[in-house]
Amino acid sequence: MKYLQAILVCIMVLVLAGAANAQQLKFPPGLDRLASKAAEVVDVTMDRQMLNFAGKFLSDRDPDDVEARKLIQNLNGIYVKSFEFDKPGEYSPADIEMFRSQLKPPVWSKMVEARSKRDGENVEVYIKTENGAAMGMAIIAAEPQELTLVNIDGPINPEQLSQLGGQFGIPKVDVQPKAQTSKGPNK
Amino acid sequence: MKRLITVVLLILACSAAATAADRDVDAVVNAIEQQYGMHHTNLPWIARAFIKPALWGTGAKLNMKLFEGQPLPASTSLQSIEEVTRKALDPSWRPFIQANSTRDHEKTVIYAKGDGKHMFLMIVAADREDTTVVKLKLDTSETRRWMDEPQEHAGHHGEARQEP
Repeated sequence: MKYLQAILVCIMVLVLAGAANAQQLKFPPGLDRLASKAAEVVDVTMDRQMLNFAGKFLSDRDPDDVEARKLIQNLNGIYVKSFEFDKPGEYSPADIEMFRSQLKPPVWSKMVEARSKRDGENVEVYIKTENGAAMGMAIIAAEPQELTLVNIDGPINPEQLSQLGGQFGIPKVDVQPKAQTSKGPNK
Repeated sequence: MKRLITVVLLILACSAAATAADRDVDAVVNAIEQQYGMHHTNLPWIARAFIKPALWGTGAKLNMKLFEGQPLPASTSLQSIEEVTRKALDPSWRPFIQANSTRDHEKTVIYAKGDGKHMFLMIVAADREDTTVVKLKLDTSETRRWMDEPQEHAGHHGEARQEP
């Protein structure tokens, strides 16, 4: 009987682990198609261990670095995929939709959408909520010749996003708390 | 005369350290040689002599192997380089950055690992002319101090060392 209980517990753990894994935000493999069209492709992968190392390089003296270190040491990972194209029109809305389609309520909600008709820039920031706490963030920064997708996994407040902007390949995004608009990308 | 001997000894020490075996670098270099049929060359001593001062104060150590004048075959994909590098390294190395520039014909794969005090980067970079394998060992506290006060530390602290 004890063995049966142990097996049941193992099965439950595996099922729960599978469910948790299923909720992980992924860069769709279909995006690799864009890599052949892009002039520059950059993939940044920073899991928890890597973030801990990265945090050690941040300054003790610079208040921004101190805050950034506190933030990244609580994160599970930062994943960035960036494409730069030689001419506009190399990626389609469907390519973005492959990523966006995972950002569904109730887990994900759109926090910011900023569009610039003049520059053709479009930034969307999504927040992942678990038990009322912000547990992740996703950014889609699309310009006519550039597409950047970011997955920040772990506890992060919207206001903290500005601390990561410009680091680890994350575009600079000014996020106003409780606001629905922003200044857009500032790379 | 004494000064000349010191300089010669320093250069020899530098050369010896730079050509010393490093299991990780050797594994990656061997894997590239086998996969793409290339042969590496060691960095010329004059280049090593310039690298050393460039790293002064950073607490960094560097081991570099060159495939000079040997670009990877034109059909080589970034995934192929990534796979060759990953298979050559032990699992403690984590994928960090992959970059492909068709504009500049550059492909770069960076793996990283740490031991608490140090961070190690294994960089495989290929362009139209050469292929380079670099292992960089960074002392986190030294590097952070150097980033805070680059001039002060370049002048007074630290010794850049060629990674054995």
